[in-house]
Amino acid sequence: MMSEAIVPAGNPFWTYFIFSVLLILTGLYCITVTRNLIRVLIGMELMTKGATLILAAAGYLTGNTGVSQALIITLIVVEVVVIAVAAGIVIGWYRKTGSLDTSAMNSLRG
Amino acid sequence: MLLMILLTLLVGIGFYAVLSKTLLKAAIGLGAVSAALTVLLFSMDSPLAAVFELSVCAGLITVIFVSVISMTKAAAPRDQKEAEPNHYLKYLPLLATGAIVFCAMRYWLGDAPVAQATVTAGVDVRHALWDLRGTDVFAQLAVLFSGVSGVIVLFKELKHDE
Amino acid sequence: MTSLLLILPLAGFILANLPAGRAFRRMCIVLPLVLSAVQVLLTLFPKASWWTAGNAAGLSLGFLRIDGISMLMLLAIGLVVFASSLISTATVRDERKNRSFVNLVLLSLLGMNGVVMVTDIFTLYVFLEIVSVCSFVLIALQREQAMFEGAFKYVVLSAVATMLMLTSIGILFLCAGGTSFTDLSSMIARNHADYTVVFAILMFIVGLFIKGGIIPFHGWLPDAYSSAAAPVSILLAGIVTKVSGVYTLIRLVVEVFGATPKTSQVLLFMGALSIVAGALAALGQKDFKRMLAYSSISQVGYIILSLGAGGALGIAGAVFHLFNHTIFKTQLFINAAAVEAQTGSRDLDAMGGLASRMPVTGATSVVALLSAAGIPPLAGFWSKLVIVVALWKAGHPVYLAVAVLASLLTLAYFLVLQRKVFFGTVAPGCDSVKEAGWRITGPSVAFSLIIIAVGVAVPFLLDTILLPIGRML
Repeated sequence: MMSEAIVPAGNPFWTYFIFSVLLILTGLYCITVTRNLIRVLIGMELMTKGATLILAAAGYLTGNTGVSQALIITLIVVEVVVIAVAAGIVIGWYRKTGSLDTSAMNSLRG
Repeated sequence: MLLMILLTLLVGIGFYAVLSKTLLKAAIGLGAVSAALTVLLFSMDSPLAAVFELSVCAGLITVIFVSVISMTKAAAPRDQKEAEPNHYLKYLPLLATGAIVFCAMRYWLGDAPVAQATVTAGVDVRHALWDLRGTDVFAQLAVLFSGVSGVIVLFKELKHDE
Repeated sequence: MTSLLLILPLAGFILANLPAGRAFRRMCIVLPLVLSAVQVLLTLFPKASWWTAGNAAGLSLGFLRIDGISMLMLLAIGLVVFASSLISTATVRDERKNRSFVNLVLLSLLGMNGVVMVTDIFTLYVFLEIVSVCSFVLIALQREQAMFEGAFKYVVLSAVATMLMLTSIGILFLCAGGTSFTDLSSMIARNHADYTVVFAILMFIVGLFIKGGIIPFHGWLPDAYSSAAAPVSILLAGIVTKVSGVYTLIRLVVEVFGATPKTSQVLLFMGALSIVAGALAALGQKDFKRMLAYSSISQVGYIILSLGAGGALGIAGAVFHLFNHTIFKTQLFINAAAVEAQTGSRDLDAMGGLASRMPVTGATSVVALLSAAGIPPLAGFWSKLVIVVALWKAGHPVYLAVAVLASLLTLAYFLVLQRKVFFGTVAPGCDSVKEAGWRITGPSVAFSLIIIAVGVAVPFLLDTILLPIGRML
């Protein structure tokens, strides 16, 4: 739609890609730095958002949005299932320990 | 220009979601990231994916997060104070890494071999999803089933622990 | 026909969840047993006409294909799922958990069958996620604290792996305009020196390293293996990580990414690192299952090393060792389950002299350990020999030395294990230990027989099955 005016000549993919990578890095950083389990899940979600953007950009720039939309829909379904199961595990852990602190997750060292 | 604003907004809200002090704001920030992504997907000729993103990611996943946060409320205030010391400083390396990646990618990404648009243009999304990618739909069904069994295992039996 | 391997488990899942009487619900463990047994029987005859029947009628799902290596993996999947289900009848007593186990095992059977047959990189990702989601829930099935911890670590690292793979799929999709293996391999063959393409390939390979638990990315693996319940850790260690990490790596490197010198270097280095570090870590373990988990990391290193050596021989060695590893690691985890069920402990220091109390378990674990350590004429020796020859032919004397010397390390930690658990004087508290029931010892004996049979029949297998696999791919 608005692509002709906005996307610079050459290879427009890198614009999308850099911002996706920034989003993914934000999520990855959140996972490594935080000590709260729910924030870990939020970081996981942010990474998936970045990957979605890359797929969408790839489909859009090759004029293949039919296929890329099909891929994204599947991706979203999978993403929801993974997050629901991960949330269940977090809640189970919370019921057992009464804490959401990741530093408590070290009973299995060695 | 609009594209750059949207992309900056996307990453900016992502930062907000990560940096916000309370979990609830973080979850809402995540929903807002999904909303921004929805607008981007619309601008990229992918309306169906955008609708999915809005309803499922901005809607359902936010609901999941909010319910998880409310189910674990008792732990939240304590963990919040202990778990996030010197909050903003920890994210400084992220900005530096981001800047380096930004420059590096700009430098390297000049010569990606992009497929020609004409080759596969015009595949309708319905045709793509049901005819070309029938196996994906089948696998989606299996993913959903495994998710349902997982949720049954993890949530339904919560009563038995207490 | 090929798609029946996916449709039948789904039908089984639906059947197991039909509202039905109590008697039927208690019987539903039969479903994975029957399905996996049928799969084993079918794959024993790879040339039979039923593999091609019905394909022409347009009944099959797209993107599916069976060749020699998928056939071998289908056989291994059937064997391990059968053993795991049989053992669950002896160890998972609670009826509701039993039912959840059946549901999830059926779906992971579906997912693994899909992974080994698929020819599209995105569908591959979806099937990998089915297997992962089932594994997350299976690890947490008994709802103990350690299980949640193991499961959560797996969830997080698996999410990172997924992100890497999806990013890579996005880039490859952009460059190739499609996601099928043929599209990708022709595009990669044309642009194998392009930075973007190399970057995408390396991202995907690192993602698979995480899934397969190669050394710097192995954080989740010992926790997940040791915290899970017995039938689940058999399933995970025996086949899930092998299919979702290692098999996929072999398939993609050989068929899609191509063996460029760069990827070979990465694979060789990571393989050697994994072999040595995994073996050294295994030496220091006090927990039965954790020691097996680190040994698993070390053995997977051999497979990666062989893949890095390349050539028909290297690929044949990787596939052969993958199969052997599946068999003997499953058997060792079955024995760990037997010991844990009978003594109630996994602490190596608290055990001793169990061979006199559990003769079958003691004897079968000697077979598996010797096979893992590469003692002739057992199966593990031959696959390691193929790997060593492949390394020699490819001209990597340093890696060859690492592979041979690390074999001694393997022998060392398994001797420690065997001495502490089975040999020597009977430890106090182990006096009244009895042999486990037939549902645990039966699979164990069967797997030992497979190890011996493969070892004896290897000259026949090498010419008819293994080398053709290496050449064909």
